[in-house]
Amino acid sequence: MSIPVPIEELALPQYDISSITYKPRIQLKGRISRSTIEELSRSKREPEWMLRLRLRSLELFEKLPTPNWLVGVEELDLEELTHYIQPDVERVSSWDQLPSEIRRVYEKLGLPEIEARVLSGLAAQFESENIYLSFKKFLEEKGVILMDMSEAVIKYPDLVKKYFMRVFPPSDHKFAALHGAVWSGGVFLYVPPGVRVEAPIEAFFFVASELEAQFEHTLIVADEGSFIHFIEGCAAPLFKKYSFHDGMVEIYAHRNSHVKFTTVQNWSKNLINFNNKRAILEEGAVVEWAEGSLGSKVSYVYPSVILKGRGSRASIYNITLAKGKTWKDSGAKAYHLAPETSSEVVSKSISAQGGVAVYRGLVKMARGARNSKAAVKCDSLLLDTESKAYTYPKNEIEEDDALVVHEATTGRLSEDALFYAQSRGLTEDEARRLLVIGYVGDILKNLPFEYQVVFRRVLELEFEELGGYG
Amino acid sequence: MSLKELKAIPYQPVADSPAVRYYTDWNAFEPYLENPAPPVQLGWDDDALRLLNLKPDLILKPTPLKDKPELPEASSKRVLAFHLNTLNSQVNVFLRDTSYTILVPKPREGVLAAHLSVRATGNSTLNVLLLSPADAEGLNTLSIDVEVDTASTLRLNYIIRDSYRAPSAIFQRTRLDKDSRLETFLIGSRGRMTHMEMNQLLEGEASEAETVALLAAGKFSRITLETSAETRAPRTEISIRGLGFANEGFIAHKGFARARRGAMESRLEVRSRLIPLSPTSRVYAAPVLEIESDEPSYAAHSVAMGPLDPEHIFYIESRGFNEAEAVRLLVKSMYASLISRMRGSSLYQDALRLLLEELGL
Repeated sequence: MSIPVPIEELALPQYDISSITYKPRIQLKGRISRSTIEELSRSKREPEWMLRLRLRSLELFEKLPTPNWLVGVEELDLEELTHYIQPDVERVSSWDQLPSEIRRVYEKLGLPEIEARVLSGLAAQFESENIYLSFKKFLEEKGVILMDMSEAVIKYPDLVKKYFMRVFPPSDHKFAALHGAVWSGGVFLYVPPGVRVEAPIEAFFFVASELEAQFEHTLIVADEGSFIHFIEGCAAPLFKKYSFHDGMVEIYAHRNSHVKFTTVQNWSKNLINFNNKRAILEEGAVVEWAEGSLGSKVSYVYPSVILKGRGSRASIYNITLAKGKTWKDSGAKAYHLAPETSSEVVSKSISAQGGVAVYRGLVKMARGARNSKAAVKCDSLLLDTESKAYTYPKNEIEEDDALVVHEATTGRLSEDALFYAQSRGLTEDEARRLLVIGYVGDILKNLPFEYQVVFRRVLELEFEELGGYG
Repeated sequence: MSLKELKAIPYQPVADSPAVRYYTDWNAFEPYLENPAPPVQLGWDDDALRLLNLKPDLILKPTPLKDKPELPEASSKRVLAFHLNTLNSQVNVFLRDTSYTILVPKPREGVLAAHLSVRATGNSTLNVLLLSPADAEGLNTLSIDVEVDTASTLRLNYIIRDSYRAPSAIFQRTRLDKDSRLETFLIGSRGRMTHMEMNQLLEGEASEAETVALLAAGKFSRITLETSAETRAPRTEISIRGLGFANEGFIAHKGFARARRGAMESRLEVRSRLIPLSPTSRVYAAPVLEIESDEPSYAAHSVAMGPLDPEHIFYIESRGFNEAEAVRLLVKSMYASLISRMRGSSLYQDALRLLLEELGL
């Protein structure tokens, strides 16, 4: 699928993009009220059912308590945020048609180049709306739908209504309800029965101003026997004030389908990131989540799978970097509801310069999950005395022949390995860098080559900035 | 404290975190909280006591209270607050190179809320027995403060076989001085709702805490065990091992290992193996690691929850045993593998019979 290229040839994310001064067409800010929601829905020309869903979500948001175990969200004040920013740009399918100021942002992020090399489709969201969306004609002809989420609500109401917030209902928690009330942007992807989309499709989300809240909604429906690899990228420049992200990804994997979902999250270091990710798997379906969490100041992300069909399988891989004054709460949840299901969770975190990495996970073998298996492995690497790693797994078994195995370790870089690498001619910094990259290597190998390179390079840049650890 | 004030305290400190669920059936405690009454007709299971071949040095009973103990966590845990409020028995124990056995009787009705303050020096053993008659309906709450002096070792054995009709709650708090060692060995079987919290604080350099818990929950039994060990000193060692079988019963093990700043070159380990033996059994495990610097040399936890290996059962059957015998042998051997790690294992061999009996093996 992808052709190996030297690292130097790849466009790498540059994070010196200054604030973009492009004026928005519509902005909704301040307290989230019924009238805000109605205005948002009206501006998107949504059908009545979507407005009702939004209003019901708003009611839930107002009723549900804020979880009292959240850390690091004290400054989050929803009333000072802009919840919807519609950029004054028409959606295009060619980079040349974008205003140059915005196009330059994406060129710096390397998107056009990656699209040309690897992807079969790309949606780029700027603020609250997709401004670029393009995908291969032959896929369209096969019946694949890749569309802006709002547009899909209007064009395919029956199909969207069947799945939208059915996988992750707004009643789940306060911030799922908030998302349901004010969501905008994101993509809808439908893969028809038997269709295999071999090259990945990517959605890229960019937060371009401070005190902005982004609520994109991604819905993927893989019909029977289909295959799709979806990549989600996130970036934001560093502003003086914080921004907020409360996105949602829903995957419905029909019988014998196979969905890979990869996230490369590199939000700026003062963004509060909540992300709601869940997949439902029918008989024989396979879902693979791979989550690379590099950026953001505070992050709460737990990709989850509901294995409701016999023989369905899921894997969840996480890499989390908690560097500096950050709180990275990540994990995974696997609910086994059917016989002969299996799940695998591998989580690796790196904490440095006082960063806190938390693994919070759940494996539940419900009554009926006979002969099911789950394996969880979470490792934490601490690079100095200031950093912390917490591991909170939970395993529940209600079937006598189900098997759950959980292993976790927390440690520092091995002195022996460092010594060995140095005895082979590496400096101490190089040796440390090599060992950290090696530590996450078994997860990185699950990504397409180009993304492995980007990921490794970002990790290396973080190290260069630190000048090594010790 | 009034009932209203008591009810304002949550059963657990953080109510809605997905990671702090206790699995304890708190409803079992509610009738006693609503209507606390003094203990009536204290009793114990004589057959079990004879089986263990132990003669109690002390049988707890209501006593006049001296100074009420300080239990800071009572402000955030309802059952502990109730315990402190209802406290009606208080004993101080000083152990120096000795072995001592305390029997905690079960009231036929009412509440026996006892507090033990234990200080150990030299090389000592303390046995705490809760061997309830199967049909007793009173509540036991027990708090134990243990202090192990510098360069001393305490073996703390709990053998618990509770009533089918009433709950019990045990809260242990231990502080370990320099070069001290605490070996906690817990055998827990039977009980409508037995809730146990074992907290160990390793404050002294090179102190060690080893906990081994063997649990068995048959029909109508629910056991929740929370083991928590925290180190703040260099070269300390924490080892927590839990092994439980549920045969139509319920077992939960929540094990915390925490390393705070200063735990240089310390080692922490939590291991849990919980095995459901029948389709209606339920087992839960939540092993937690909180590591707050890169100073510890080793920190790990692991959980295995699943059935006995069918190949092992088949192998034993192929040697002429029937399936029930094969299961019994496997269960016994798994318990025995942990027992063999402990010094003076004859007591545990006897206690093992209580576990197998609970599982109907």
